[in-house]
Amino acid sequence: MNVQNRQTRSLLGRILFWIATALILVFFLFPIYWILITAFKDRPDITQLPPRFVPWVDFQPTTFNFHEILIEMEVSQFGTATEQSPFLGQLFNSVIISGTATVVAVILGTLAAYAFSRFRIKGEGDLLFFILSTRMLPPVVTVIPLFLMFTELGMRNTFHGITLLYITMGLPFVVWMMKGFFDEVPHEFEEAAMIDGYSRLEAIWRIVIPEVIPPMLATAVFVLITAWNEFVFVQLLNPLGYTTVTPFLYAVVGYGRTEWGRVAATTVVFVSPIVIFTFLVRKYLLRGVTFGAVRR
Amino acid sequence: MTTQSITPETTRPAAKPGLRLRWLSDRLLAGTFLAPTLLLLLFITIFPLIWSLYLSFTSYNVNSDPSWLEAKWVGVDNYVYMLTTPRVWERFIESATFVVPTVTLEFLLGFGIALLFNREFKGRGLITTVILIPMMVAPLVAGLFWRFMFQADIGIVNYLIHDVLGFQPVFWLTDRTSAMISLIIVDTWQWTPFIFLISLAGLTAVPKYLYEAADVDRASTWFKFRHITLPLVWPLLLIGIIFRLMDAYKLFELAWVLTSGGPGTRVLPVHLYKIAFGDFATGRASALGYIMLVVIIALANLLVRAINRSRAAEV
Amino acid sequence: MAEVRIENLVKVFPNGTRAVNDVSLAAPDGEFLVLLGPSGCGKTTTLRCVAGLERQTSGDIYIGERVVNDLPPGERDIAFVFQFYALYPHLSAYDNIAFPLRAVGVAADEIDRRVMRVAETLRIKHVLRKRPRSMSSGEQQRVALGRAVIRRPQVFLMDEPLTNLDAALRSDMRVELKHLQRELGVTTLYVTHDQTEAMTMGERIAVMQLGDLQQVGTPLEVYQYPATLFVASFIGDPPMNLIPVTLEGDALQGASGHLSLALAPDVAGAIRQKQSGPGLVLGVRAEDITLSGGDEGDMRGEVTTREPLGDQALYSVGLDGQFIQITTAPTTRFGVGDAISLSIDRSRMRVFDAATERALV
Repeated sequence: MNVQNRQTRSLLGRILFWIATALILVFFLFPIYWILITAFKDRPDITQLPPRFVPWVDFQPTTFNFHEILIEMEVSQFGTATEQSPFLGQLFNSVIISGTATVVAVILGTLAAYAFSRFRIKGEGDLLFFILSTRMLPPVVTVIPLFLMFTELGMRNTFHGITLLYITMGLPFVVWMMKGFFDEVPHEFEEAAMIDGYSRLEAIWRIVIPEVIPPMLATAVFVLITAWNEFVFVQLLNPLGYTTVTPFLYAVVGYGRTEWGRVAATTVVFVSPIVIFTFLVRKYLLRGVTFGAVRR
Repeated sequence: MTTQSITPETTRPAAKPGLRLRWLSDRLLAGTFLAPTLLLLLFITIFPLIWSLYLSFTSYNVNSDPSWLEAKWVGVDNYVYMLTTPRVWERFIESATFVVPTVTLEFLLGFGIALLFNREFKGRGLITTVILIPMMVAPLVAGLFWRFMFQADIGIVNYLIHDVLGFQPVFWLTDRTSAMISLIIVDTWQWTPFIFLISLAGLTAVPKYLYEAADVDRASTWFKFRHITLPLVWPLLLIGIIFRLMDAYKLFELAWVLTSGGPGTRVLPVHLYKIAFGDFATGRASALGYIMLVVIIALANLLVRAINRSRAAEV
Repeated sequence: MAEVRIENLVKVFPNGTRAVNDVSLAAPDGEFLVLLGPSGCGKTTTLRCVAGLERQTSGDIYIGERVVNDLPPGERDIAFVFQFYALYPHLSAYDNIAFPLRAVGVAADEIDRRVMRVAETLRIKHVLRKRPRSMSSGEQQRVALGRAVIRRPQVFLMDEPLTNLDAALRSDMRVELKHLQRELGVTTLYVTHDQTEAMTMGERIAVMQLGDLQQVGTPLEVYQYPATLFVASFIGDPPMNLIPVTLEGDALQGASGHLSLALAPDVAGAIRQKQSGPGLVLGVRAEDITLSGGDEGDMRGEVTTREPLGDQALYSVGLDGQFIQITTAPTTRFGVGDAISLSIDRSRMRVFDAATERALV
C-alpha cells in the first residue's frame, strides 16, 4: 500500500507484482491490439485458426481494408462490383458536427460558468443542479420526444439539428467543469484589472480567459469525445443526412456476413484520435470523467 | 530609491474608443452569459420532456397516427399497463442482474488494481494512462471489439478456451446466460479503469504520515487498510460507484451492438427502445420512460444521501 | 492627489451580515491612514467600497471633491494592492507593471520608459522578464507595488500587502513602502491586522471592530489614550491592564480592597458626571506602573512570574483573580512570591465605563 516497505519487498513479491500487472495490461489492452492488427490483415488471415498475432512474423500486413473503407469497397454480393465508400463523407460529417458543437458548447458554457462563478445569481444552486440533472436522463428516454420534435420541426437529417443537440449535451459538462476552474482563479485578478480601468468584459477576456486556457482545452476535448462517440441520437435522428461515423460502424457489422477487416479498419481510424486525446487530457481525466465532482 | 526618479505623471483613466461596454452592468452581463445555455437546455431537453409527458397519457403511435394532436387521451392507462405487464418486471430484473454484478466487479477490480499500482515502479505513469483508454472509446466501439472476439467460430476467446485450454467452446452472444456474462465482461473491461482512476486518486491523497504514525504504533497491514485507507478513500469511491450505477442502469449501446438486445440482454433501455422504435407505441414508451426516470431520480437521491452521510461522518 | 472622505458608510451583505456600520472617516491629501482591526472587523470591506469593488448599502464616498459612489473602480483613479498581489500569472513582471498603462492606451515607448523607471525605483529590473511564479514573494510584492505606482493614481488602497512576506522581509518592506508613499505623496488607505505595521507606518490609525469605527488617531494617541476598551485590549504588547473598579468617594476601589486609587477631585467629578452606571474599568499600561517592596502603593499583590526580556523585565502580579502585567528596568530583582506594592502613573491612565466600554477620562 504505502512505499515504506519498497526496499524490503522480496523478489517473489516483485515477480508476483509484474505477473499481475501483465495480466491486467493484457485484459485491458489486448482487445485494442487485436482490432489494430486485424485492420491490417487480409481477409483469409482474419479467420485463420490458430490466430495470427504478430505482423510480419505470423502474417503479412496489408492496407487492403483501409483502401476498402476509404476509397471504394467491394460489394461482395455482386462479385467484383465496387462502390464508393460512404465512410469518408461520414468521417467528414463527424469532424464538422462534433467540431462545431464543441466550439459553440465551450464558448456558451464558459460564459455561463463565469456567471455562476462570479456573480450572485438567484437560486444558483438549484440552477446548477438543474443543468446537471439534464445529463442524468437516460438517452433512450430523451430520444423519444426529441425524435418527435425534430420530425415536427423538420430538423431530422440536418446539420443544425444534430449540432444543436450535441451543443446542448455538452453544455452541462462545460458549465460544471469551467465553473470549477473559474472558482480557482482569484477574483482579485479581475478586480485589479477593473481598477486599472478595464471593463469587466475586457478583464474577462484579457485576464481570466488566458488563465483557464489549458483546462478549457481539456474540457473541449471531453466534449469533442462525447460528440464523436455519440450513437443513439444520430442513428435515429440523422439516418439519411449528416450521418456520422458511428452509424456507419454499426451498419458495417449489421448486415449479412460481417466484414471484420472493414470493421477493424474503420474502428482504427475512428478510435485513433480518441487515444491521442486521452493522452492530451490525462492530467484532467479524473476531473473530466466525474463531471468536475472530483477536483485533482 | 531616489526622489527624482518618479516625476509626477498622472494618467487619468480616459474613455478609450472601442469596445468598452461600460453600460453592461454585472446584472445584465450575468443574464447575457446565462441566457443561451438556459434557453438551449429548455428547448432541447425540457420542452421535449414535457411534450412526452403529455404523450404518455395518450395512445399515440408515431407510425399509424397522422398527428400527435389527434392522439386519444387515455389517462393513466399506459402507466397501468406498463406496471402490470410481467414482461416489464422481467426487464427490471434483467437490468438489476446486469447492474449489480457489473458494478460490484468493477469496484473490486478497479480498487484492487489501484491498491496494486499505488507504489513506485518503472513505467507507472505510462501504464496508468494506457489502462484508461477503454473508458474513452465509444461503448459502441467497445461492443464491436468484443463482438469480434466473442465470435463462436473465429473468435479469439473461444480459441483460448477450446484450442488452448481444452474446454467446450461457448456460444457467447447467443445463449441467454452467456450473453449476459459477455455484457458484464465488456462493461467491466470498459469501466473498471474509471473506478481504478478514482481509487488511485483517493489512495495517493492519503497522507503518508498517517501510515508512519500507524507503523510507530505497530499496526498490522490489515489494520492500516481497515482504519486508515478505507475510511479516507471511501467518500471518493462512493462517488465513483454512484456514477457507475447510474450509467450501468442507462446502458443501451453496448447491449444493442453486442447482441442487438437478444435473449438475456434485453435490459430496460433496450426494451424501451424496442417499444418506441420497433412497435412505435410512442405513448406507452413515453410512460415507461417516465417510470425509468422516477427510478433513476429515486436512486440518485438515495445515493446522494449516502454520500452526504459518509461526508458528515468524516467530519 | 486627493483627500478621501467616507461618510456614514454602511455595508450589509445579501446574507444579512452587517460588515460596516455607519463609518465616517477622512484621510487628508497625502496622508497614510491605516485601517486596523481583527479579521472580520469590516476594514477590508470599507477599503473595497472605496475601491468600488463592493457597492455600499448607504453612505457616501468622496475622492477629492468627487462623489464616487456610482463610478466603476476603473474610473475612480485609484490603485489597489491585494493581499495575494493578484499578479497576472500569464504575464511577465514587465507586462504586469505595464498593464494599467495599456488599459488607458499609453504609447508603447512611453510605457517602456515608465516601467523601467518604476523598476529602477523598486529595484526589480532583474526580474522584469520573469513570470510571477518564478519570483520570490518579496519580488512579487515589489512588482505588485510597481503596478500600483506606475499610473500615479489619486489614492493607494492596500489590503494587507505585507502579510505574505517572512518576518525579516516584512520589516524591510515596511520602511520602503512608507518611504515610497511619502515620496509620492499619494493619499493611502492601508488595511492590516498587524498592530506593529499600523504603529510604524500609519500617520493615523483607524481602529475598527465588528463593523464599528472605534477610534481614529495618531499611533501614540491610540496607544496611550484608547477611546474604547476594545482599542485598549487590541493595541500594545502586552495589552493595557484592565481592572474592574468602582468609584467610591474620590477613589477607585478594586473588588477586594487590594486596590485603592485616590483621584484628584476634578477627575473624580468628571467620571461621576459621565458614568452610565457604577461599573468602571481602570486601564493602565504595563510601563506606567512602578513596583516597590513597601506597602505605600495603590495596589498590593504577589509576584507570580518574572520574565527577563533583555532590555526590560516583565512581571506578572496576581490581583483578584487576574494578572497585572508590569514592565520595569531589567535591574529590578523581585522574586516569584514576593509581596509587592504597585503605583500607577495618574497622568497616563484611562478610566472606562464598563457598560458603554467608552473612555471617561
